[in-house]
This record gives sequence, C-alpha cells and structure tokens, in this order.
Amino acid sequence: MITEKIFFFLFIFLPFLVIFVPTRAGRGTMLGAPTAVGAYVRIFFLSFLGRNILFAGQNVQLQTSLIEGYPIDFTLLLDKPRFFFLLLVELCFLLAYWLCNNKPQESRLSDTLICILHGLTTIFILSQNVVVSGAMQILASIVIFYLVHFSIKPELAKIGTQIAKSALITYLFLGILFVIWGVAEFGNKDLNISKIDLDSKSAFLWILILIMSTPMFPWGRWLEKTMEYLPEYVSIAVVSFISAVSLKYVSIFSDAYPQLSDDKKLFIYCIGMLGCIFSISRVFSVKNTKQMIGRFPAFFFSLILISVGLSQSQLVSSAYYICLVVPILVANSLFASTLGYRGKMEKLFLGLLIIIVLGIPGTPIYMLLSFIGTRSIEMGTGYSLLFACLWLLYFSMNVHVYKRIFLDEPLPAEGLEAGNKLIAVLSGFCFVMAIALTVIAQFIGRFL
Amino acid sequence: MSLNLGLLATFAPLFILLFSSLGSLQKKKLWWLSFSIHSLSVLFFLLLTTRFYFNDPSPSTDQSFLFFQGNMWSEGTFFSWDYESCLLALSSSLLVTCLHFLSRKVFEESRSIVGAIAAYQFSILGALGSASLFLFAFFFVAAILPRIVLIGLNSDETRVEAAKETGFFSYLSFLCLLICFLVFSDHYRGLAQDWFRVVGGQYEIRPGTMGFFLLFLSSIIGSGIFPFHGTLRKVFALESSDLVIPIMIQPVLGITLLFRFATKMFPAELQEFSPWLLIIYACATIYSSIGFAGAQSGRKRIFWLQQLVLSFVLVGFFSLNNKGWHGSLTLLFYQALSVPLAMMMLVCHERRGYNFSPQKMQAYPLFGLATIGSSLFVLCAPISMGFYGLLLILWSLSADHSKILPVAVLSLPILVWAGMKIMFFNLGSRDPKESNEENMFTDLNRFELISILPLSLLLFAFGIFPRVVMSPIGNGAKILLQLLGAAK
Repeated sequence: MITEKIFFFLFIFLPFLVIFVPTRAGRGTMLGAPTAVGAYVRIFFLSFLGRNILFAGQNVQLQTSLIEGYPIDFTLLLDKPRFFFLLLVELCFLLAYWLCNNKPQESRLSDTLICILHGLTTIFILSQNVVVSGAMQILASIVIFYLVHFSIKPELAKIGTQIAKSALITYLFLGILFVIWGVAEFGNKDLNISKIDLDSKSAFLWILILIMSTPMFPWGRWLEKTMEYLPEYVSIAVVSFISAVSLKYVSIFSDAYPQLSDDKKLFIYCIGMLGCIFSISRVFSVKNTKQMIGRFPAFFFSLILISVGLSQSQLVSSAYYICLVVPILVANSLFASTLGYRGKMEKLFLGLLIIIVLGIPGTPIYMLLSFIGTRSIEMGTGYSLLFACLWLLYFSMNVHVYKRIFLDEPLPAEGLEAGNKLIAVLSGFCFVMAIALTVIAQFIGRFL
Repeated sequence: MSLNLGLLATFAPLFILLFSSLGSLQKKKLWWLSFSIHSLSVLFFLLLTTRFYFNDPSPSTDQSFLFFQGNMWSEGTFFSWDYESCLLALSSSLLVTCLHFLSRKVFEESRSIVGAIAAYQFSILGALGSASLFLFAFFFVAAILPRIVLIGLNSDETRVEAAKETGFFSYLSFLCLLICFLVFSDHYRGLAQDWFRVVGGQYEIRPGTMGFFLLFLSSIIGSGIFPFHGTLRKVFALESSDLVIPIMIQPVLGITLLFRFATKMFPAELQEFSPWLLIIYACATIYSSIGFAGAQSGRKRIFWLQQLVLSFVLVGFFSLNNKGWHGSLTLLFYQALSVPLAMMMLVCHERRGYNFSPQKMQAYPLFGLATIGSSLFVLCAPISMGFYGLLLILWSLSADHSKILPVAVLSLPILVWAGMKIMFFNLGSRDPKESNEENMFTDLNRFELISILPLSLLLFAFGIFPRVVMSPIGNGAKILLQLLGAAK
C-alpha cells in the first residue's frame, strides 16, 4: 500500500515538478519534451494504481490537514469513476503537450501553464474537500487567464483579452460560489461532500453553480472563441478542465442531492434543452470548421443538464459518459479539422472518429444517448418527443460538420505544417484515444 | 537569553539612528551598517519565533523587563512577545531589510532617510512588543516624528499637505490613547467612574464605553483605517513610492492595539458594541472594494486593497469567535507582507515607466513572473495564506452572524472584477508610456530581485503549507478569546 501511496503522490505532483526541468532549444521537442515525458510517467503511475482499484477494489487516498483545528483537509481519493476519467484526460493533455511542443521556443510559457492546469485539474477532480476543490478551481481560472494571454497571436490581443476576462470571471465566481456553498452546507461538519437535507436552501446555489459551469450560450461564448482563435492545445486543455468541473458538479448531485425535487429537475432540464438547441442551431450558421467544432462542447455540456434533469435518484451515468467523451471528442475533432494530407493512418482515424461521433451502437455516444433516451421514454411522451427531435438535430449536425471537414480546405494546426511526419504519429495516437474511449465506455458498465 | 533577543532586536535600529545623525558613516558604509543591523533584527525575531515551535506553547510570551518600573502608570511595562507579535515584528524587519536593496540609491544618498526609517522601525517594533498601554503609547508617539520626516523628505508638492495631515491625525490619535491610559489605568480607574459617566434622562453612558471608544478611535485614526482612511491616502500619492513602503506597516499597530488592549481593558464593552461595529466594517468591505474598482492608478489600487483587507481583519475581530480571530490575525500578518510586496513591484513598474504587456513576457520573464506573483498574493489567491484567512473570517460569519455574511461576500465579486486590472500587468505607473521598442524596457536587476524574492518565497511557502504559521496563530487566538471570556 505504501508503494501505491508514493506512486499516487508522484502522480499528483509530477506536473508541478516537470515545469522546473530545463529544456534546450531544438532538443527534446515534441515527443521528448519534459512535459510530455511527465505525462508518460503519469500514465504509467495511473495504470499501476488502476490495477488495484479495478481488480482488488482498493481505492487510493492521500490525506493531510492544511490548517489544524478545522476540517480544511487535503483529501485526495482515487476511485473507479475518477480513474477512468483521469486516464482519458491524461491522453488529452499528452496530445496538448505534443502539439504545444512542436515549436517549443514560441510556446514554452503555454506549455508550462498547460502543465500547471493539468496538475490543478487532477487535484480538483480527486479532492473530497469543498474548500480545496474551490481553491483549485479559482487557481485554474487564473491559469487559464494567463494561458489565453500568452498563447494568442499579438494581432488578436483584444479578442484574447475578452476571452481571458470571461473565463476568469466565470470560473473564479464559480470557485468562490462553490466554497461559499460548501461552507454553508458542510461548515458544521467536515467540509466533505455528503448527503444534504431535502429542504436545504443552498440547493438553489448548487443549481446556479451547475448551470453557470455549463459553457452554453450566452455565457459560454468565450469557449467558442477559445476554440476558434486559440491554438488547439489550449482548447484541448481548457475543455479537459471544464469536463472535470462538470464531472465534479454531477458527482455532487449524486452524493449530496439524490432526492432533488421534480420542479428543480425540470428547471435544469429546460435550461439544458435550450442550451442544446442553441448550440446546434449555431453550428449551421458559422463559416469554418473550427467555429463549428467550437459549438460541440456547448452541446455536450448542455446534455449534462438534461441528464441531471432526467435522472432518477443517483443515476446520472449519462452525465458521467458525457464528461468522458467531451475532451477526447474535442481533441480528436480539432486535430481532424487540421489534417491536410491524408495518408492511411489519417483516413483510418477519420473513419473511426465519424463512427464514434455519429453514435453507432457500441460507441460511447450511442450509450449516453440511449441512457437519456430510455429515461425520456420513462418520463412520458413530451420528454420522448423532445429527445427524438434532439437526436435528429444532433445527427444532422454531425453530417453537416463532417461534410465540411472533408470538403473544406483544412486549417493548419498551430505550427504543424503539412507534410510533417509527426502528423501520422499524432493521427495514430488520436486513433488510440478513440479506441480507448470506446473500450473504457464498455468497461464502465461492468465496473461501476 | 530570550529576554535579550526581543530587547536587542527592538533597540538595535537606534544604533543606525545614532550613526546617521553623527554623520561618521556615510553612503555605502551607512548602507552596510543599516542593512546589517536590520538583518540582525530579522535574525533575532526569527529566533524568537522559532522558539514557539520547540517550547511548550502554553506560556506563549517572552518577557523583557524595561526601565519604566516604579512609575505609577507603568505597572507591567515590559515587552511581551507572543507568537503573533513576533511574526508581525519579523515581517516589519524583513520588509525594511528588503527595502535596502530596492532603494539602495536612496539609502546611500540620504542619511535622514536611513535615520528616519531606523527610528520608525524602532517605534514599530517597540509598540508591537509592548505589554502595557503606557509603553505602547510611548512607542506610538515615538513613531510620529520619523513618519513625518519620511513624508516631508519627498520632493513632491503633496508632501506638506500629507505631512500636516499625518501629524495632526497622529497627535489626535495619541491624545485619545493618552486619555485612555491615564484615566483607565488601574491607578485612576476609581476616579474615572465619576469623570466619564454621562447621564441624560433615561440614558447613561458608562465610563467603560467612553474608554472603549477612545481606544477604538485612537486605533483607527492612528492607523488610517476606515472611516479615517483619508489620513493614509495622501501618503500613497507621494512622488517617491519607495518611502511609502515602511509606512504601510502602520495599520498593524492599530489592529494590535485592539487585539491586545481592548480585550484586556474593556471586554464587556467590546462584546456589547461588536455587533454594531461588525455591520460598519462589513459595509466598509463593500466601500473599499468599490474604491478599489474605481481607482485609476496602481498606488490607489494598492491603497484600497489594503483598506479592503483591513476591513476584513476588523470584521473577523468583531465577530468575536475563534474562527474570526484566527482568520483576522492570519490576514493581518499576511497583509503586512503581501501589500508592501505589491508596492515594491509597483516601484519597479514606475521606474521603467512603460506598460508591461503579455507579449513582453518571453523577453522579461523575471519581471513578468514577479508581477503576476505579487498581483496574485495581494488579491489573496488560493496559493496564499490570505485565502485561508479570508475563508475563516467568512466562515466565522456563517456560523454566528449569518445576516452579515451576504454583505461581506458582496465585496468579493467587485474584488474579482477589479482585480483583473492588476492581473493584466497594469499594476499601473502614473503616466505609462507606450513603447514597442524592446530595448526601452529592462528586466528586474539583481537588487530588485533580491528585494522581491525573499518576500515572494515566504508568501508562497506559507501559501503551500499554511499550517506552519496558522496553527500557532490559532492557539494565540484561542488564548485571547479565553481571556475575553474570562473577563466577561
């Protein structure tokens, strides 16, 4: 058990150590960059820890008190749902490091900030304590603020300022609200998330936090702009973090508000449905592929609200699937949109991506949509009809998007020139990511 | 051994005053003397502070008997160094030591400044260690002259106004303190029962009430805390911002006065009036945050930020519970380091005179990182101990004063919104010049780096391991509260 704890400790703090490793210009770039190497080591540690978590059913936990006399503990717990999520997020961040280190002289700062965001995302998702979770969210918002600033081209500085401001305000407020909610709900206990009384007034605060954390139109426009104007590696890192935030809030629903009243659920459902419709409709009105892909996360994150609105006591499996799917899907789609040259590996990857995105049976998208669909049918005709419309719209949206991806002139990825031999390697990696997502989605049903 | 340490650390700066007055040492030699003696002060306070980690924490004071024994008002005139006062004294000494590097030229060129800073430091350290109100008042009044000298030595037109205002309010504050310790000392306490009793119709103002409010007024006037913050505002507008840095430690004295003496001398009155004062200071947090949001220059922003933090400190103090006092003492120590650090960074910005944009980050990484770090520290980001201090204060309200909580929380969104201006590297020179020429800007030089690095590292280390400092502070807060409860 001590070995597990040491590995767990190293797994958590490695991103913060890696940033101090010096790099020489022109050497150790891309696949061998310190941040990327750190990610390989982390994946190894996580796989090692996963062996016990999956097969022996032993969770790994680290705990230390931040302030004596108060329940402000640094309690980090790795269990099955978090393990699967982190495994996929690790792959996304690895892709982000590779893309970022293609021209390391220009993106050293971004690389460092992505690495810090990586570490904060991990602690945020593992943390049990509301204060530590809130603090990590606040810190992550600050990191995103500077990441946007340092990654955007100088000529787009004004747009960068807008994006950075919006991201900071959104997640800083959410962090503060989360801490206030936590102190109000669990202040007289141990500040760890646990079941709350039905008549709790703070439930409204949690609903507000849940809705505000969903980057849907109009307050989520900054994410669309991020994906449109910023390099792919920034978008991938930011979307991975947002997925972690959504997963956290959904897990709060399961742990703290399993008996949320029907009217509150209906309210969340309606907001989610509006978010989905807005995001789909906006896909058809945009000019280029990147803008279209920029609307993807808003759709999926709005689906989380629908899942919560439809949920029955603790069943929010579909929301969990969404949190797993979004970072991989966004990373793959962004990479796919940049593929100019299409060799065997690239075509293989694109084919698999379309299969996954369209939601063919067996894929995670199919599973999450079927979860929502089944529950909608149980809820009645109105819900069923709405869901049918939504699925139809989603299908049309994907056909439209992938038609554009194939027919439009591809936009070059930041610093990834056509003919770069590493494109095939990256395509292969994205292919592996898509396969991993599908396999994990199948596994989850058995393990959770 | 411990007796001498506190005493030596406090009186050591007087040697600097002596040599700077005599003029036997000048320029670099005087700088070296001043630096060495202030460093020695830091070392002594560091040793004093570390004692609390190794000794039994229950007798958490270190007493050094002084020369006022036998005077009728001076019962208990000795230095008493508890953990909190050691920390505050340490931060004050460290600040002045670091300032030697940032303002090396100023220190080398002006003996008066070296002397004034030494005298001011002596007064601050003495007041922080004072166990009796009489001794505190002695050091408090001793701080007035060097402060006026520091302000008056500026070459700016605002100096006369600022010096006059500071002088007037400092003496007013001292007058309140004087009445307080003369009348409410044990010797005259019996007489005060008649002198300060005001009866009108059904209403009666008891002497304790008068005493408490005199002490409270003395505290907020002398330190320039809301609603008397105007006394400090002009000081922040002086031309030479280097000299504002030591003066920024002044509010610590006011709060110490409340923590140390209001609890001891007027416990019943403190408990009676705390709810009202709590409301006032909860409103002050909003007022200060609006002031911060509306500030046009970096100096004003830092001034309002300090006011905001101090308002939170007083909110914690008047909440009269363990969490509130713990948070309040933590935040008080934290602001004594973080706000001057931001001011130091502002000095670096003002020296360059050009706006620092994110595009310059690659070329001037040290400057950029130091700016980001100081901005985050002063805004109490979660990498800092200030975050936990603020959290404890808000938590204290949620338990006992839930109606005040929304008022105090309201200032946070304003703080966030306005804080972004600082985070955009616009710490704010007065009249920044726009320049695209890279060679017009310079990175932090080694002296600036040496002055900023220790404070930044210390704040970062405390942010990562808050329990190192916060646990002993929590014990101190508990002891103080027990005293208040016992005296009830």
